[in-house]
Amino acid sequence: MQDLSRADLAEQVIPSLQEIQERLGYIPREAIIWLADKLHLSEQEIYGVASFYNNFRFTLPGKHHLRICLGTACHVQGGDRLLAATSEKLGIKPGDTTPDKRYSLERVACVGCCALAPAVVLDDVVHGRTTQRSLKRLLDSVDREDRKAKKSEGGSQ
Amino acid sequence: MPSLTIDGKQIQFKEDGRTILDIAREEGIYIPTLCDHPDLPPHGGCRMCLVEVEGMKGFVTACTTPAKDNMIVDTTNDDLMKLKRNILQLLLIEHPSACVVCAEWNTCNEYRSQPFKSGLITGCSTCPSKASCELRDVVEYVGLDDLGFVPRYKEMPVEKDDPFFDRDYNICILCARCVRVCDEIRGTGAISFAKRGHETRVDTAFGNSHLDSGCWFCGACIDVCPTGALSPRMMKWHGTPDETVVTTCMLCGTGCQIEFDVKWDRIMASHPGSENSEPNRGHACVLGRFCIPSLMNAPDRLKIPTVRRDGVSIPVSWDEAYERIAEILNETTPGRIGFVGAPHLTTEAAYLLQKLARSAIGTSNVDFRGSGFASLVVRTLADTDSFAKVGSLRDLEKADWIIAVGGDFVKTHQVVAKSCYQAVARGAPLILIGEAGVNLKRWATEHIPLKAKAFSTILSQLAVGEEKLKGVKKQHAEHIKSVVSKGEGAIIFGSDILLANNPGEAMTALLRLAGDKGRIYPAFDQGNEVGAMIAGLQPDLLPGLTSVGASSVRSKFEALWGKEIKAGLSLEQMRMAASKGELDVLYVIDGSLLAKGFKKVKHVIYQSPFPSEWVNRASVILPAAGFVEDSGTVVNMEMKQLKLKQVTQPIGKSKQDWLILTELGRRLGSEGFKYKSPKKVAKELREFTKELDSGAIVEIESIRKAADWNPVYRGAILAERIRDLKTFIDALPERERPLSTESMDDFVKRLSEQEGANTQVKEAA
Repeated sequence: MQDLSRADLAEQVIPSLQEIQERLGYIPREAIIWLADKLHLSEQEIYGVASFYNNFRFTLPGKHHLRICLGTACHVQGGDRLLAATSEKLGIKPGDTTPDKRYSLERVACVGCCALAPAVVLDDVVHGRTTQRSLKRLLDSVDREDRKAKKSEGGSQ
Repeated sequence: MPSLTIDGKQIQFKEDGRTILDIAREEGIYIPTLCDHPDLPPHGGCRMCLVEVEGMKGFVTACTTPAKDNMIVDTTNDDLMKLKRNILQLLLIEHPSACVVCAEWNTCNEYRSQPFKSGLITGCSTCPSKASCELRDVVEYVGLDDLGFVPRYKEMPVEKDDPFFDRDYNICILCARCVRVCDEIRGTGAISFAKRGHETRVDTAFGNSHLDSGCWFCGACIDVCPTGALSPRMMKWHGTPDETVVTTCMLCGTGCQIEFDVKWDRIMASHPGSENSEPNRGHACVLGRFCIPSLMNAPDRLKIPTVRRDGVSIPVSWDEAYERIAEILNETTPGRIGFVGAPHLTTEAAYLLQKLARSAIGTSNVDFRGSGFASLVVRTLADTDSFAKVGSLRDLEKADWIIAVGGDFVKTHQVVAKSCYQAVARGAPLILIGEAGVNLKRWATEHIPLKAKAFSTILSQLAVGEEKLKGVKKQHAEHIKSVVSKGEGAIIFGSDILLANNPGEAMTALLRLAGDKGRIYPAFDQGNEVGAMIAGLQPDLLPGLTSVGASSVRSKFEALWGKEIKAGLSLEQMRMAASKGELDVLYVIDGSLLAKGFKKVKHVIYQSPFPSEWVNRASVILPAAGFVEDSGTVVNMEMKQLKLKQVTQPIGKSKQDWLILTELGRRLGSEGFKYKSPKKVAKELREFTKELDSGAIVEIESIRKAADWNPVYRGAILAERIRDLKTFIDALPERERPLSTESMDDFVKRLSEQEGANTQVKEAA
C-alpha cells in the first residue's frame, strides 16, 4: 500500500474494513489502529466510517449469527415483536453477543426477501415467514446439532 | 466583465471559481451560514445559505455554487425564509434554546453581562459563548419566535476529563467545523463523526480520551465552533473583555500573533488572531492557545526588587537595587563579569544588554542560553549571504516537496506543522529524516529513520546527488532523488540537527539541497533567538552580525562606545571560567539557565519575571516584565521582524527589560543610555543592521543533547505551572510508536491467535 497517494489510500478504507470483517468476523480495536497506520489516516477517520455503516460490527460475533429483518414488509408482519422476543430469550440487545459466545443478534433493514416476511437470517441461511415459535424450534435444533457435534468430537478423541 | 444580480443589486465580478456566498460577502450582503468558515473548504451541510437562482432547479447552497455570468440570485424571498425557519426549528430540537425565543432576552442580556456559571448548559444565559454565538445570530436574522417541535435533550455527560477544554455535545449542532479543521487543516484527525442518524456525534474512536486519540490540544476546534459546545476550561467565564490586544507570542520561534482578552488590566484569555495576521493566520498551538494567561498571572511572579544583605534577601526600591549592582560591577574587573541573556528578550533588550556589557562595563562576555542552533543557522546564512532563502509559512504551504529533519514539529511547532500539512494535503511529497511522531510519519511519503548523528551524511549525499543514500533501499533512494530534483522545495529543520556528526556540513548541505528556488525553515525553539544574534548578544559578534575580528567595524564601535572591544567568553567558556574561579559576577537574565558550574561565582544578579534556582543565591533580584507586558520587536523563524505590543501593565513593581537595562546603564554613568522607548533603541540598532555584513566563519561546538519537549520561559517550566499541560506532555510518550508494517494476512493471523479458537477466521477470498 506504500506506493499509493493519500487519496488512493483513503479509498481503501471500506474495502479493507470489509476484508477484516470477512476474515475476523468483526472489527476489533486493534484493527482500527493497524488500518490507520496502513492507510496513513487517524484512528478517528477509520472509526467514523466504520461506525457509520451498520454492516460493520465492533464486537465478536457468536458461533451463530442471527439477523432479524425490520425492513418495511417484515416490520408490518411483526418483525419488531419477533426481535423483542428473541432479544429477551437470548438476554442480549441487538448488536451484542451472548456471554457464552453462542449467539449474536443483529437488527437489519431488509434482506431482500420481502415476500417471505418476516425474514430471519441464521448463519447466512434465510428463513422466511418466521414466527416466535418457528424461530424457537430453529434455535433448539441448532443447539441439538451442536451438542451432537460436541459429543462426537469428544467421543472421537 | 461578467455580472450577476443578488437581491436586485447588479454586481460585476471575475469568474474565478468564487461562489455566490463569496461574492455576496464582498458586497456586504448577509447570507446566514453555520457550517461555513473562512478557513475551511465549502461543506454545504447546514443548508442555511440556501438561495434561489433563476433557471436552477429548487434551492441551491450559496457556499458551494460557483458564481456565473447573468445569474439572478434571490436570498430573502418568503419561500426561502420559511424553509430556513423550518430547518432551524429541526436543528433546535436538540439544542437547548429556550432563551432564543424568550421575550426577555434583551433585558436579560443587558443586566447579566456574564453567563451564570453552570455545569450544564440549559440555554443561552448559561452558555459560555453567549456573547459570540453564531447560531443565535442566524436565528435572529431568520426570525424565529417559536420552537415548533418538542425539544429533546440529548443527556450526554459533559466531558471534562481531558486537559484544557470542556466539551458539551448536548449543544453541538453537528456543523462538522471541528471535525473538518482537525482533519483537513491541522492534519490530526483526532475527532470524527461517529455513528449516524439521531445517534451521530463528534467523538474519538471507541470514545477514547483525547489524550489517547492523538489530539494536540491546539484549540483549533474551539476556535471554529459556532456554539458553546467546545470551550476552554480556564477562560470561559470572564464575560465580555474590556479590550483585546494582539501581540507576538514568544514561547517558540514561530512568532504567532495571539489575541488577548484583557479585563481589569489582566489577561483573561488568549486566542489566535484573525486569519489575516501572518504567520499563523488564525491558528495557534497548545502553548499559545491555553497557557499564556496562567503563566503570566502566576502568583509567584517576581514583583519587587530585592538585595541580599547578611544572607537575607530584602525588598528594596529600584534605586537601591541599581546602587547595589553598580557597587558590585564597579569593584570587579570587567573580564571577570559575565552576562547571560535569554532567547526571550526583545531585540532591543538584547541589544541593550550587550551594549551595557561592552560600553558601560567593557567586556564581551555576553551570550544567551540555547544559542547553539540560532548561532549555526544565522552565521551560516550570513556567511553565504542567503537570508533570502528563508521562507515564510505561506510559502511553505505552496511547496512542491518537503524535507523535515531534526525535530518533531507537530509537537514543538504546531503552527509550522499545520502549514506543512497544507502542502502535504495538496499532494506535495514529504520526506521525513530521523525519528518523529506518528503524525509526521503518517504524512510522510518516505521515511528515513536515521539517528541524528547521520543527518550530515545523508543531507550531503542528497545535496550532491550521490548514487546511494545511507540507510535507504535503492528503489526508495531513486524516488527520493527524483522528488527533490524538481520544483520548489521546502526544508524544515529543527535543533536536533546540532546532534549531527558535523552540524555545519549538514547546514551547508541543506542550503545546497534547497537550491535557487527552494526555501528553508529553521524551527527555532525559543522566542527571539535570531533577534538576539542580530543584536550582537554573542561574545564574538557585534550588532548587525559583524565579527569582533573585523577591525574596521570594531573600531567604529570602539569610537562610539569609548571602550576597547575584543572577543569575550561564550556561555560554556564562562561556565568553565566560573568553575575555575575566574568569574566573579554573573548577570543572569534567563532563569532556565542551569546553575551547574557557576558555584564559585561571588555575585549573581538575577533579572527575570519568574523565580528559579538562581533566586536562592542572587545578590540582587530584579523583577522583569513578561513578554505580554513588554513592547519592542522580535525576529521569528521567517526572519521577519514582528512587533511586541504591550498588553497589560507589568505586574507589581516589575519593569520591562529594556527599561531596567537603560536605567542601569545610566546609573553606571554611561553616556549612551538615554532611551525613552524601545523605538529609540530600535532606531539606533537599525544603523548597524542596515546591511547585514558577514563575519568570519566561527567553529560551532555542539553541546546539546536531545531532550524531551519541555517548554520554558525564563525560569518558568510551563508544565510545572500548568497542570493540564503536564497531563498532556506526560501522555505524549505513549504516542511514540512505529507505524505498523504488518500485512493483512499477518495481522489477521495475530489477531485470531489472540482471540482464541472462538473466531471464525476465513482465508482471503
